Amino acid sequence: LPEPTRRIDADVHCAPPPLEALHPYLTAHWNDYLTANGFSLPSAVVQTYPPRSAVMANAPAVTLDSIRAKVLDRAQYAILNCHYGAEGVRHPYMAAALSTAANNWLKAEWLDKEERLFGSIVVVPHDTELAVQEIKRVGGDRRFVQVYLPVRSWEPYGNRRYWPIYEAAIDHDLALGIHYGGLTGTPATPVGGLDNYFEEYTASTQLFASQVLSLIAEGVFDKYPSLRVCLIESGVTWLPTWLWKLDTEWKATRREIPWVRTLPSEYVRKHFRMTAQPLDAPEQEQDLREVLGHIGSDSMLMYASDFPHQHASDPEQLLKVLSPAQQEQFLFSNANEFYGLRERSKSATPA
Amino acid sequence: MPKYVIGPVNETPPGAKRDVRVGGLSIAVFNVDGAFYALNNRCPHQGAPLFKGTLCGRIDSTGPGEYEYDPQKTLVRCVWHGWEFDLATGKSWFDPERKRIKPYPVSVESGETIAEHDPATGSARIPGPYVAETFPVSVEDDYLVVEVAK
Repeated sequence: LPEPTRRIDADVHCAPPPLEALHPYLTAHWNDYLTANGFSLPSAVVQTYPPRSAVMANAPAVTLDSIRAKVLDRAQYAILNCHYGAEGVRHPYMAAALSTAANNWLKAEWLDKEERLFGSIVVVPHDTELAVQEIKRVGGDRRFVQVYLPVRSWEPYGNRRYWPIYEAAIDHDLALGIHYGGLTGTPATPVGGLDNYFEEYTASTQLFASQVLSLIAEGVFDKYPSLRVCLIESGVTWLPTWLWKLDTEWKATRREIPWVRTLPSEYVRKHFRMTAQPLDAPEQEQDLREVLGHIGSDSMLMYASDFPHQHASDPEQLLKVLSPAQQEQFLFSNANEFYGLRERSKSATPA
Repeated sequence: MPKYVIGPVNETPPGAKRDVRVGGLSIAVFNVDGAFYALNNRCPHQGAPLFKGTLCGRIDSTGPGEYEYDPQKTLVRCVWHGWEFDLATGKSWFDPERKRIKPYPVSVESGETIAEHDPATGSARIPGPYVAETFPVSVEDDYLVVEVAK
């Protein structure tokens, strides 16, 4: 097989739009109210990506030109994620107005201008009805491929309060994109708050693990068998031990959740995908090979740069341990099939 | 296939769970409301004694929040890690073809039947041979008999 040349970059970020950028997309009421109150951005944005942290300090400015030069120079398509932080805006109507404005801004400033970009829908995850309303409003635009949910949530995502969001996502052929970060009324971890960014970023692994557990155990995939979930910026190598735990405990206690009728690891391989930046790879290639073997699927991992964020980890490390066929899946086919990108790029019609 | 006499049937009353050694094997014997079951006594997971397991009904579901429960006790849950096995077939709930326990036919037969049987000559009327390893059989009682493939 030839060296694979096609790529889809499954996690690229635009900087969240400050209020000035959203003015054209907000009503007069919200423009005046937010200006009068000195609002610029939801505080979740700074919490998730502190401007001078290692992940951000040397990050290039994100513009269409920098994305074209540094992302689309190697990728045919990219998924553009706007980590806006609407979950941290407690005022439901303000949060909804901002998410609507952010999505209109995404369309006008990014998707309309660059057809190789696809977007994730910003929603208000803590108000299901408003989230569903927004999904229905923009979900018909085929350039949106998923609903963006921060991994830090108000309740674990298996909770029934979220189910209408999942139903709306399926109705519009959208995946869920659960992304690192978020700011809610709960501590950063179940054992309490954390003191520094190193802890905040590292501890997110347990949040992803908790969301995987909750979605499976609460029966979300039994209720919605076609639901697809991408874990974005979740890290990768933690997954196998969690699968072992899930399967072991399920055999012992599955009577509590009789709707889960097969091994939880089978649900994970069927319904979940992961972006591979960060990868959190061990030092030895052989160890990475073993981890991939334990994940047990060539379809789960998707290439991502997480542009413009800077990581100690490198998704290209993965290429060294993959066969040419696996490389092709990782770089292109897995994301193309998961999001149906090529089919979307034909049918996408800029509004 | 030799048949081993476990003992008088009234030693294994309804609700009883016990282990017996016959033919060099450890066998778990259960009486569920008068129905007898015998399985190899070793859980295929980590070797726990199966006879100590909990008898329970079957639970299934058609979706979240739906509990289809059959209270008839047709499963034994291993006492160590909760794996469920069908009492009649020995098959596990979660992986019936690969994780399973050998079941043994168990029956109640009259002392008369057992005592009259002559292993030396055999008999068309009576399957056997019976092996009463540790006690004499009296014709007045009924006995629990397990059939063990060698």
